[in-house]
Amino acid sequence: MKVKINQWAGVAVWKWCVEDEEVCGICRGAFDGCCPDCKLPGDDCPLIWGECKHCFHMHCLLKWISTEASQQLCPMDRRPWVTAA
Amino acid sequence: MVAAPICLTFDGFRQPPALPAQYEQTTRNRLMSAVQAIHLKNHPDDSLEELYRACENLCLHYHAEALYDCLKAELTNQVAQVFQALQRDIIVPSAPTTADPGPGLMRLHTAWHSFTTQVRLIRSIFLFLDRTYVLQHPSLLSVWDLALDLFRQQWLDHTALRNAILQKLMVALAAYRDGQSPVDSLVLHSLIHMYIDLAVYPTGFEFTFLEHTRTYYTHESSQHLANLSGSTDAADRVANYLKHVERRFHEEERLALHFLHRDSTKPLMKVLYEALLIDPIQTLIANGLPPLLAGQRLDDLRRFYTLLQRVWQLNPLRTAYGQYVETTGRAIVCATDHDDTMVENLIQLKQAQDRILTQCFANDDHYVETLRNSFEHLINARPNRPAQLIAKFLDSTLRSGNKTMSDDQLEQILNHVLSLFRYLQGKDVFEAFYKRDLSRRLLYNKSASFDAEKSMLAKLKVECGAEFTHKLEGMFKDMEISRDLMADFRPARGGELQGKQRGKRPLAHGYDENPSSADASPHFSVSVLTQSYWPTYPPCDGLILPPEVADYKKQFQKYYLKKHSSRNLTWQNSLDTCVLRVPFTAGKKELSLTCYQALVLLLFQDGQERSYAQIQHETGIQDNDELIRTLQSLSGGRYRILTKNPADREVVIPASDRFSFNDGFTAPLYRLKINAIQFKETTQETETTTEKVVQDRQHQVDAAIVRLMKAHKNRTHTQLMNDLFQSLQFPISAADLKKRIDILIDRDYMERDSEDANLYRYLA
Ligand SMILES: [Zn+2]
Ligand SMILES: [Zn+2]
Ligand SMILES: [Zn+2]
Repeated sequence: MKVKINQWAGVAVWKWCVEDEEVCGICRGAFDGCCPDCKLPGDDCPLIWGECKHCFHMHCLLKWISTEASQQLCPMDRRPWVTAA
Repeated sequence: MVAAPICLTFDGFRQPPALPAQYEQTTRNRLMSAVQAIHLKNHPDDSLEELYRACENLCLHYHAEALYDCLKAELTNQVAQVFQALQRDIIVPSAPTTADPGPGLMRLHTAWHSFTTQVRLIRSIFLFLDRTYVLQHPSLLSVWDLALDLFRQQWLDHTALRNAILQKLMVALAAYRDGQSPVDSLVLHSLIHMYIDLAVYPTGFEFTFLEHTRTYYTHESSQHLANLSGSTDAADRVANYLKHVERRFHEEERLALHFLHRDSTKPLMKVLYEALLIDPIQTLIANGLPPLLAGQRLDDLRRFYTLLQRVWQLNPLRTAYGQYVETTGRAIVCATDHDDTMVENLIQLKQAQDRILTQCFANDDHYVETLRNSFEHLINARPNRPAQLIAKFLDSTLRSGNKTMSDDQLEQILNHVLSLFRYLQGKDVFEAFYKRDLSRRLLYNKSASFDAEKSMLAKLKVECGAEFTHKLEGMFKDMEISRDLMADFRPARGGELQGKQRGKRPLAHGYDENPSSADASPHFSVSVLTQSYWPTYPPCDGLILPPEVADYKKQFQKYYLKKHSSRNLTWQNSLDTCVLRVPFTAGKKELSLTCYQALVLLLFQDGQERSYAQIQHETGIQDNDELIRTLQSLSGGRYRILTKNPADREVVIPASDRFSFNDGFTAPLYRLKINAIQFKETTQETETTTEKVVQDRQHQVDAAIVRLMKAHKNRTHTQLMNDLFQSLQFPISAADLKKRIDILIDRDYMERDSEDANLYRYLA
């Protein structure tokens, strides 16, 4: 006997490429959640990586960079922020 | 008295002509004999006109004083005679007090009527006297008042007569209340007004009347309500009693209007209120309210409320109402053997009470509040389970297969469920189960109506705030995004693995209702879930998928990761579903299967018999519980696709059972859904979900403690506990909170003050 597959509906789960326990260094929120200003994680509230390998909610980082006090430095290591390609 | 001014001007101007001797005496005698004649009901010799002139003449010639005294003496004499006769006729020493009051009352009525008629006539003869002499002497009574005063004195002097009459009146009025009328109402009216005219009404009549009324109705009430408690027809008896009371109120108002002084209505009704309702109120409520509520006897309940409102006794009824609802509801909630009907029964209870509130209790704010409190208590009488069952009830309502309902009906049911949900304290438990069920409806495309899903979500949002529904909304969003991905994704190997776009089904994945012809290429699809929205599923690695499925997934993963470079994608193969076309000897069938079922079935294409171990090895299903359930669903359920050897029992024994394909399988339908043991709620799953809630709560407690301590730096134990009880959204005991505080102290988030053990300090 030969069985034919008519339909197959798969299910997958996505996560950001970060360690499970890692949190945003600015808002201290988990990365599988979103920044304090957003409601839903995902496309609407993405993450951003610096060349220094530090990772933040993009909204958190943009907010930080736009402040006078930041001097455009990564809040974790105080080196000039350069977004990873 | 209207003519008074005339007299005053008149007096000073004119000297009256002199009168013949003896005139005064003669004229006075004429007048007195006229008064006597009137008393004896004879016609006076002179006309009224002549008598009036005679009186006028005497007054004008300063003989008024003598005339007044003479008249007073005559009237005194007459009233005494009247009372002598009354005493003789009415007081019969041997007669019992309950004897027919008719004759006695009639007799007094006749006497009183004659007396007043006569005095009226006499007054008109002596009008001039009233208007001049009496008016000039304020201490004197007018003819009418004089006569009444004389009557009153006699009345007061004749105690026995007075008592006899009062007694008879009470008997007559009691008979009147009993619906008999031994005495003409006119007589009753006239006699009661005699008391008023004689100015003896309050003490002479009203007081006794009210006392008799109280006795009468206290007796009536105790007769109606005797042996009420425990009687099987208590509801009917109370209902009838209330109707009776309503009628009595009405009757007595009429009685007051017809017979009594208008100031008597209020005290009379007060006596009725007390005797008929306020005194027996506990008996009425305790015995009547529960069965009337249980029978939903709206008219009777409305009457109950209205009557008690009238006597300002709505609070006892309200308290008992709240207790009834709470007791009834608690019984439903705590009936552990009837969990499957709990929600339905609670909805029914709620609906019934809503109807009663509106139709019987005038939507009384206090009652609304009471009902709310009762529901809050009763639904939380058992922890977690009601929240879970409400979620489950919603699931079965929102599931397809429930298409017997119209949209309106569905909407109505959702509203009812929500009205229960509102009172839940552990909304997080509800959320966890709702989320689990929603995930199944979405992934297995089991939702009856997308609109209903959205509507329910909107309701939850209104009820609990946006925070509560974020994740649930996120699940819908994931399904939308997945659909868009499917439209965009083009697998490499030409048409064979082409993902076909389906627009007509809003809930993304599942089986096509009408797949194109049987030979068309398979239809693949993927749902991509955002981890934090969805329930956590156990990982299941190592499943051996059919090559074309594995290949499709590989291509999709590549496509997805290219699109989202900073993401990981993990397959949840155990959640996969599929449709397989299977050739049986009697014909082909399309089977809807879970991933596990499909993997097992696909093995048997080679026609070989297999052991449990072989199957496990070839499919990669490591979880024995899952595999046993899967094999049982394929070999022991309604549709036996596999043959189990030995077949003498349905339970799968991994060590000894062997399985083979059942070629001879037949079924009336072409498309079959192989029963979903796997989808069924298992105890273990319920435990996991509940456990997750408990963990979440712990995290929330920890976070709240740290947040509060960080904000306040120092906090006494009591302050901190109060803050916590206020900010936490779920029920929790003080002991549990204390445990978490101790753990946080151990972890150096905070410390106890070295001197004051009740003071906590935040450690930065
Ligand atoms: Zn952040
Ligand atoms: Zn954001
Ligand atoms: Zn950095």
